[in-house]
Amino acid sequence: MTEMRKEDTVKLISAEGFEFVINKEAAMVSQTIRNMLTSPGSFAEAQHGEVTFPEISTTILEKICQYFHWSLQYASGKETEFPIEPELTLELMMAANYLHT
Amino acid sequence: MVVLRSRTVTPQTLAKDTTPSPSVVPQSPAVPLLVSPATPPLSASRRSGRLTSRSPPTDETPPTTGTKRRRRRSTSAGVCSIAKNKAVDEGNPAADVVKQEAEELEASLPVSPATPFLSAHRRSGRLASRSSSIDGTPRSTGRKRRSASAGVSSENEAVVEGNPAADGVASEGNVIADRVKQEAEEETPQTTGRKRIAESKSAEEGNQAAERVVDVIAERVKQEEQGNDGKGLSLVENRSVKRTRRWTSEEKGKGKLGEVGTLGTAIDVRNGELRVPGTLIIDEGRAEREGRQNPSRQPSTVVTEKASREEQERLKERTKDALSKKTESGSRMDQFKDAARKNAARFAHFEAQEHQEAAPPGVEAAEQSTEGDDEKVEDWPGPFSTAMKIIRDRSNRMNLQSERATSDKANSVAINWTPRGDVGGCNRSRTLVPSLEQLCMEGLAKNADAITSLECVPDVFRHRLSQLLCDSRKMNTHFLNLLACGSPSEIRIRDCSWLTEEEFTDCVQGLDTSNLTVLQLDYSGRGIPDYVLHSTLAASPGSMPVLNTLSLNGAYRLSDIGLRSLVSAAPSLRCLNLSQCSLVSATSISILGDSLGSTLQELYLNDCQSIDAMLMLPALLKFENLEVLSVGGIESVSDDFITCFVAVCGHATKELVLSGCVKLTDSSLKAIATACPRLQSLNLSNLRQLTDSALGYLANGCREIQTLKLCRNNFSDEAIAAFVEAYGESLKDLSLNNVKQVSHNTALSVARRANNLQSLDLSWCRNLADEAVGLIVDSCLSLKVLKIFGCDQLTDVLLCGHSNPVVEIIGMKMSPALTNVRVIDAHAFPVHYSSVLSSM
Repeated sequence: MTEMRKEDTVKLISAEGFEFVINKEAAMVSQTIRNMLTSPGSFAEAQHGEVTFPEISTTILEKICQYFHWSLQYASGKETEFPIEPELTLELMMAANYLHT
Repeated sequence: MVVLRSRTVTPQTLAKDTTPSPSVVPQSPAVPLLVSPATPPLSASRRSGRLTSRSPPTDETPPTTGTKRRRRRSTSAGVCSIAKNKAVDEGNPAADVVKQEAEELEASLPVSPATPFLSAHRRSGRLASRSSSIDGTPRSTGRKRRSASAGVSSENEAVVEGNPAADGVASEGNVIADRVKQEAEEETPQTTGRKRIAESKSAEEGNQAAERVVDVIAERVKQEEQGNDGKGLSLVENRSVKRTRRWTSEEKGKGKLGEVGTLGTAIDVRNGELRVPGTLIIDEGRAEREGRQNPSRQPSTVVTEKASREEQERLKERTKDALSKKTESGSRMDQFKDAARKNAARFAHFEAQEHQEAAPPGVEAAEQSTEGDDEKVEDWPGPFSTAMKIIRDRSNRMNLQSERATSDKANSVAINWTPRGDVGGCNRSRTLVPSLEQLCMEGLAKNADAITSLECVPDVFRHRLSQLLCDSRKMNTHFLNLLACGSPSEIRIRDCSWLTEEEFTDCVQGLDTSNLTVLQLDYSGRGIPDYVLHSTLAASPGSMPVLNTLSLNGAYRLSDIGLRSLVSAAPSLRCLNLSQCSLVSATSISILGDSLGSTLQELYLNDCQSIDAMLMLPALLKFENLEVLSVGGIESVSDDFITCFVAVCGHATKELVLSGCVKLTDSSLKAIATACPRLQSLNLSNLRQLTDSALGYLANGCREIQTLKLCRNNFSDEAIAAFVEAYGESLKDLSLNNVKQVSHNTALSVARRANNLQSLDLSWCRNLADEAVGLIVDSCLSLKVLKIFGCDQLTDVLLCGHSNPVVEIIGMKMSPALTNVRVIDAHAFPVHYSSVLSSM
């Protein structure tokens, strides 16, 4: 896999401190993250390219990152199913609502 | 697992069978539809009418047809309609029929596992086939009525039984059911039960080409020996959205009803009925309906996911249809006919020309008279009159220039709009990626029974989930208990038609209401009679101290007495919705006025047939802060009523819903305009006597109007255009549904002035072509939803050519209706004009 350049990535940090480094374009699927990274005014997140989510646990954040990538894939035409484990659903929904995604 | 005991049934057997066995013997799965008609597992208990026969939620097991009386519940609960047994000794004339049917079914359909087999006695009104047994797949339950000889094709099966064809409300049906229940004692031929087809998630289904919904109740009722005058009554009481149904001749013509209780007769009836069960065609939009049509004979696909109370409508239709057939039992038919005639006028939409009463005439006459009236209105200085003049001049100029006939309004005003998009490559990918939230919601709804706790879930999500479950008919006591856990602050359930009295009692008795601020139990008629309230919600005065919003829409068993106790239990009510509560009368309003006169802010009384407007007027005047009054559908509302009401209470009025109050004329609009300066929302649907001057008055008086709902009114294009010119900037939601004369003038005005418009409904405005609507869409940048059902001049040029990135266009012919539509989130619930938090 080709190395991603630093400018193209963003780091999402979960409550437990896990860091997920993903494509910026993928992260922008979330309206909240998009606003954080692109709005004028200097958000610390924009400057460092890192966003912390103290309320979102690792498993959920991981699932969210998977969703980002799935979403890009879907928009490009490849429409598949996005599987969600039932036990995650409730928390995932609330996190998704927060992230506006 | 529900099991059946199979054995042959004969009347004698039935007569002897007195052992009520609560469970059914398991039968071999190989024969899913084996009929064991004779077993009335719940004979005695049935009589009581309780749906005790509701079997515990079972997994999808092979349907046990034997349980005629029992409807199996699918995993997601739902209510089983239990066919009450008629007296066991009555025998089961239908048993044989059922048997035949079962055999037939066996041969033909691949029955889906969870197909409860409705027993013949669906007499029970609790056709609560409302339960959503459907889990994505239409449960074809039910009995198929087919006589063996008919050799009907297998399609007929699909009847989803319990699913109330997406009808949420059981209220009407229940009333009828009650009636049926009364007659249950009598001997009557068994009906095969009702078939209901609900197409849930129909898209996936796709199996049967035609899924039909047959409303057995209606049939059954029809089959009753005695005509039900009362039935007509109940229909009257429970009016609902208009729908039409089509039935095959057999359906309607249950002509052979006749004899009671003899096997032979029953079979005859059965055989006679053969054929394809009627199909139910439900129109989604009430606006689209103009009068009723005769039922057609061919089956067609039923599409209903969303329900609304139609059962009553259907019943009525069915009755009417049945009536139109000549049958042997003439007297009964006559009674039906009379009932139908009595009710027909209420449901029909008469064209203005037909309307003989006061004033307004046909279109042509209206045009001339508006000229005269408008002179008067235009005499008043104001933006409306100016606008009218300008528009008229413009039209006249165009006409002179083009020398075309004035009647050809469509061309009288030029519109310049060029589609900018690429027509070919219309990016439908605007139907987008499903959001994660939505995916999760759906997952939750699917697995709702597995949720163990909703703690920490904010109210917003609870409501959305509840709504999703109600819509997919999966709502059940499990979820209700989850909602009621702890000390909830809001409980909203849009569809409680599945809720029985016991369930309601059980759930509410443990409910801690000390923090409850919002309680919405719509369509809960079945489960909430007066006496239950006394022991639960209204157990003691002040038991719901902070309740400010209460919605008991469709609680048809709630009467004045029950309401009195409720009101004493909830002293801080601000918003009360009693729509379609047929027993609520003017006395209730007095009660409300006495105890809540200073605090009540919103009162919804749509379709409460027992309320006489003038009788309740004195009580209404006691409300000092009433902001919302909704009296749609109450026909006794007259000009005098409105004039008196707004004279006293108009200063606070922010929303008035007067749809269907057909007696109103321009003078009431004049009164409203004079007395309600703060009016923000007005619904004038179906008021056919209004003319353009009404709009003039409105424009001159109510300057804060944000929501205007017109439907089937007779306003002219110029008048609407002038109104929009005058106040278009404040409009957020405009509905011009079926306002036939809307044309280019309006389009121009809207495009020019309605910058804040978020929702626009132009359905059935057939004078509009692509250019007009395209102009609107491109100019109204706040527009989020545009409805264009029935606009047959619009084509893909509009869809692909407009350049508004946000708008959702709904209703284009040939496009799947309402898929991937994200509608504007309707305000969650009333009390939306004033903040509620302050007083707590």
